[in-house]
Amino acid sequence: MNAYVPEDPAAIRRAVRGDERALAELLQNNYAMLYRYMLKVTMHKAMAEDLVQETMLRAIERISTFKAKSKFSTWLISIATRLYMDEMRRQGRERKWQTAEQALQAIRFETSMQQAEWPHALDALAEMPYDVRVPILLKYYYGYAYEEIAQWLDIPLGTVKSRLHNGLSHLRKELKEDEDAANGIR
Amino acid sequence: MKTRRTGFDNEGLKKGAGDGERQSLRHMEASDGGAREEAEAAEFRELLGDHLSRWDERMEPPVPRLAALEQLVSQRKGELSRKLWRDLLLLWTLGIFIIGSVLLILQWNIAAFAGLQAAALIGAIVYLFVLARKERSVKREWTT
Repeated sequence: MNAYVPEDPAAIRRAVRGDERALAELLQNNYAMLYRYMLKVTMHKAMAEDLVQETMLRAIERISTFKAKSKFSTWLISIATRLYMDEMRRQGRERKWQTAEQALQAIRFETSMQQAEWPHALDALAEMPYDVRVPILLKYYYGYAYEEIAQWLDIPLGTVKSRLHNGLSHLRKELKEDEDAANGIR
Repeated sequence: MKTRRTGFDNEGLKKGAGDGERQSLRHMEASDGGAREEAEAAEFRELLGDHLSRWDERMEPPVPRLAALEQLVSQRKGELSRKLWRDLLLLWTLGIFIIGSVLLILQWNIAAFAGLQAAALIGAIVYLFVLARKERSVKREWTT
């Protein structure tokens, strides 16, 4: 069920015209992709689930405006990114969500339950400010264009580029320090 | 003979360049930018790519059943449709009330009608001005 399903243009046209089953199928096919994206972006399981559901509701509301100029999955990612940025900008979010550290701890715990390793590199990504982590993931992991990222984050193109550059430098430095510390102990 | 300069020196070269040179400089800049972008992407893959891919594979998204999503779509569309009709009804009621009141004032006293129209016009201009200022300040806040 979680495997990637290629987009069917005919199904998208039917969904845009109001076919509820076609839209439900599109949402189901993209659910796993969207959840994975949101969990990496938020580093917060409850917030990721909440935002995925909110994205689904927005997609249902606005499906008639989808022009198919981009992929359906890209459209969902753009909605989800905007919702996340709005959520983080809004005041009083601290009361609604558990702290970032608690949320990350929960993800680490779940990973250890799966007998898997939680690398320091992912901690370094989680510790970055959200407005740097989001463009880094969108650009380098998902391969979106600078222009798309600037539009979704509502920031100038130059700001996207500088956040990417500074974010990557920060990651490099963090991971190098970690490596040096590990070598020093040995 | 001109020496080929790259990086920060390009700006100086650009000022004295002709059309053909400018075009080739743009190509050089684009390829420099493309190469840098590719180098940064490669570095990211090296630092985090494998870790993120493995985490992706381990994640178990709670994908809802198709029937549940169909119900959600149907329910949401119903809610939206009801909201649209409610808003439309409210708009018509308000419109009829305002037009009725304005017509009554016109019948009662033409000077009061003109005063009301002028006040409404000034109010609209002030509202648009305040809205435009607010939008500008929000844009500034998020783009700096």
